[in-house]
Amino acid sequence: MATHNAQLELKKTSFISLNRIAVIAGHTFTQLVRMKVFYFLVAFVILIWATKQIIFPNETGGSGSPEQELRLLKSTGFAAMNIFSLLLALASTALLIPKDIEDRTLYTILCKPVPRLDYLLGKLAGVLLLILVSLFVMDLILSLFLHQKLSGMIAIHTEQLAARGIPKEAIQEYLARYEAHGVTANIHYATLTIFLKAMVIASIALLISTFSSSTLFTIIATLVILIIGLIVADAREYVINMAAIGQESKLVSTALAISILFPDLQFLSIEDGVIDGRTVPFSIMRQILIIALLYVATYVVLSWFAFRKKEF
Amino acid sequence: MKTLINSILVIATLAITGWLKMPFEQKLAEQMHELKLVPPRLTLEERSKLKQKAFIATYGSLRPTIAAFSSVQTTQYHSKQEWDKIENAFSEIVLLDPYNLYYWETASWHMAANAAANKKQDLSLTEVARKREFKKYIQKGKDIIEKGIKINPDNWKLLNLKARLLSNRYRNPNYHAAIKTYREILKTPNLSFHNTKNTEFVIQQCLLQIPEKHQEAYDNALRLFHSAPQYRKPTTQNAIFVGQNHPLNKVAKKMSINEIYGSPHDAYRILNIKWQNRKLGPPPYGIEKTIRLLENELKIPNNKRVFPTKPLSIKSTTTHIIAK
Repeated sequence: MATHNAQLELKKTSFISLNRIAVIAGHTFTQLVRMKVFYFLVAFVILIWATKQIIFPNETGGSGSPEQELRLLKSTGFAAMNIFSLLLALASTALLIPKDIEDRTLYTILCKPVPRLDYLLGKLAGVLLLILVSLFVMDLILSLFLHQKLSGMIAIHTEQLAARGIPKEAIQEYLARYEAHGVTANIHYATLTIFLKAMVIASIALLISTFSSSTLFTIIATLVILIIGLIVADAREYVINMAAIGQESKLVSTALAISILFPDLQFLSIEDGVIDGRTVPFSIMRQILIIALLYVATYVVLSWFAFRKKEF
Repeated sequence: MKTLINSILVIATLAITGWLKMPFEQKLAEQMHELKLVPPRLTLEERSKLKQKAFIATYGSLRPTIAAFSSVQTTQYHSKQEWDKIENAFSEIVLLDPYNLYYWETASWHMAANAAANKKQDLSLTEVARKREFKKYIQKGKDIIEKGIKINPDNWKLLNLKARLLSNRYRNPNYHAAIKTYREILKTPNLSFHNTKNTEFVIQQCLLQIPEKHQEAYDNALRLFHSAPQYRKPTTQNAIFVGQNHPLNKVAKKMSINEIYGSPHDAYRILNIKWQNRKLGPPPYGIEKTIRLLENELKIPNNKRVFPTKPLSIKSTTTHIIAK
């Protein structure tokens, strides 16, 4: 009995508990689902379907237009995924703490033996679960439409090219080019990086929301960081180039500050390469994953640091 | 005070982790640029050209999307023959999606083919101005392809596009430059045999367009002919035949009609076509004589001959003259 009590005590005071996080995450997920966020999937299907209907003019007599149609389908799909996941990550994370304060749920949770880190992790996990499910469904829809378009295209073009007297070898070359734009692991890699980007943005929003008391401020501040994050790579390169020639100025210092303090969001955008039909090596994916997780870990720890003794 | 201390600590942590991650991120960024997984960085000039699009486009996957929809918009300019607007639109589009061959090809095609032809026929301009505008737009088309090659040096299709424009007989051709460009394509690693063969054939065709390269055209045709059966096509066969009959060519061993064409029937058919198109290539040395010989040898009916035999009787000659 004494052992059981001791175990219970230990459980109560443990620094982190996956069970607690899962419960909070599940609750957050349900809360967000009730906001009918999944309706945007209908909009996504309509958008992809409409894009699939677009036929690019083959004006030059070249062979680029079928590839162009596949590219357009992919780029529209990824753009929509990016926008939806950005909006979800930004709005729902910024709303997390203020809504809990408004509903007084926060007080009910924090008066229980729930460490604040568990609370933050649970909330973030709930948002990320929602984004993950959404992206998974969008990835499926995009893959389905892409596969359909490619199959139809291959059937038509094989016949057309053969009718034009083009040798088999050349037809195979054309088809291989089309297939590079079809459903490959690269499509899913790109979706994964969109998710990682959303993770980083959500964790930044979480960090800001632990400081601020206004949802609007959190959204605006996160957007500003997002914008800066898109130029971090340029700033870093500028600093490196200037350092190579030993030049120092205020601009170099500013660029250095930007490249150190802000996250580089450009390397989380491999979609452009995937749209071009390039193969993403696994080693690159691994590195992207490591950096993204490090960002998330840093921002979560800092959020906890700011939130741990915050009084409401 | 507490918030201030917290903020300072947060910033300090971000600075330390940021400093540590910088070399790792730079290395990864370089690798990604090398693999062309991310678009090339925009210069300040390019950013100012793209205006607000530059920012939107930086967010992943939006660049090709904006480029695609902008290119669809250009069809309106095309139908209204607004060439300057097309030029401006495509200068942005290729910045947004620089690794997409379709845009380079369409942009150069609009300039070198459509705009140039339109200006050539523009009666509101003087003849001198028409010629000047025609050349100007062809050059614009060439410049677009050159820019594309700079950004995509490993894409042989852009070289092919450049060479095709350079060897287009209706667009101020420069066959020397075209040959040089086609030969660069042949250096592309892992170029398929189909593409190698096509490139070799167009090099041969370009060589035939340069009168002073008569010997090189003949030697090249011989080399191709003996290298693989796939090269034994009318282009090389005719080049060998004409080349070995060229009065200035050094010919080690003249090949017979059967050696070149396989049979007298094939020789007659191919030479017949060549004769119909004789104005498009070099002087057709020896073709007329050979066709005459083959027509006799193959007993081609007079009404189907390229060179029908002339009637010998005075009566029929008179009838012929009257009919004329």
